[in-house]
Amino acid sequence: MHDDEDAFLRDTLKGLDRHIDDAGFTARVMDQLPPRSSRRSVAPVVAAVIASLLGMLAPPVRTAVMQTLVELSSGWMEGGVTLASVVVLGMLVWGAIGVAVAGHER
Amino acid sequence: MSLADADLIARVLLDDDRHAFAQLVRTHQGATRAFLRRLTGGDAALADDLAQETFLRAYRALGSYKGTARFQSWLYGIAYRLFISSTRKKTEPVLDGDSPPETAGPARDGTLSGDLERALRQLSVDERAVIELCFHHDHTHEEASAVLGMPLGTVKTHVARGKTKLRALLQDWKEADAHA
Repeated sequence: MHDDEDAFLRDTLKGLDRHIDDAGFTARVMDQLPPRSSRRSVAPVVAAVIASLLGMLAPPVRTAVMQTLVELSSGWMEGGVTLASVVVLGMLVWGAIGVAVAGHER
Repeated sequence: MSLADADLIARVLLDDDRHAFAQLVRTHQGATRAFLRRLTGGDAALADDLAQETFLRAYRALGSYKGTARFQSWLYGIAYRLFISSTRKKTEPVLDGDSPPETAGPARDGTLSGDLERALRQLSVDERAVIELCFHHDHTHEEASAVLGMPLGTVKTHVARGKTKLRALLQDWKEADAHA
């Protein structure tokens, strides 16, 4: 096929271009997108998991957690728990709730 | 892929940034809708319905966009497959390279652009899609093959047949006008 024929076809087709106004098209598309919770960023969840794992591996944190678990388990058996172990447990639970809420709100 | 598109896509993937996706839609809606209007033979309502679905599918599949082709080209591929899928749901025969053309639409208006529009509607869907991508949107045959999921040889065949048909139709009308 001739190059000039191709150029004619190309130029004529481009000459057919007509601007198509958005006219609410984008808004209609955005209205049909699924709710944001179905496409959540994994970054904060991953960060929270890594932070938790690092926290568990850090000696002071690990010691405190293990002591809490021991005291709680023995406390349940013996009928009492220390205030420190309750505080540590509360901090762990509060941290977990915070991560879960942060991940949901994103 | 333009830097702007790359940035917007990254923001959608990393943070589900809806503003970024809306910007992508605004940027590419015109070309996508125009491409679909060409495939539908001028049916703007059907083209817009398919275009909306194109962007919804693009949102869901954005993680699979590899960036090797232009983002607009990727959208053309989704739009084309949606159109083919929509035609298969009808009772009309399956559209392929040898399928009968659509009706010519309104009568000729005697202008070159009008004649070309009318002639394009005489092509099969595949021929129309290939001609659009290769001549209107400057895709190489290889790019068109990747976008449409057609073998390269099939793309070249559609280009050749499409141009032959267009040449014949435009020539016929030109001679008819000369004798009128």
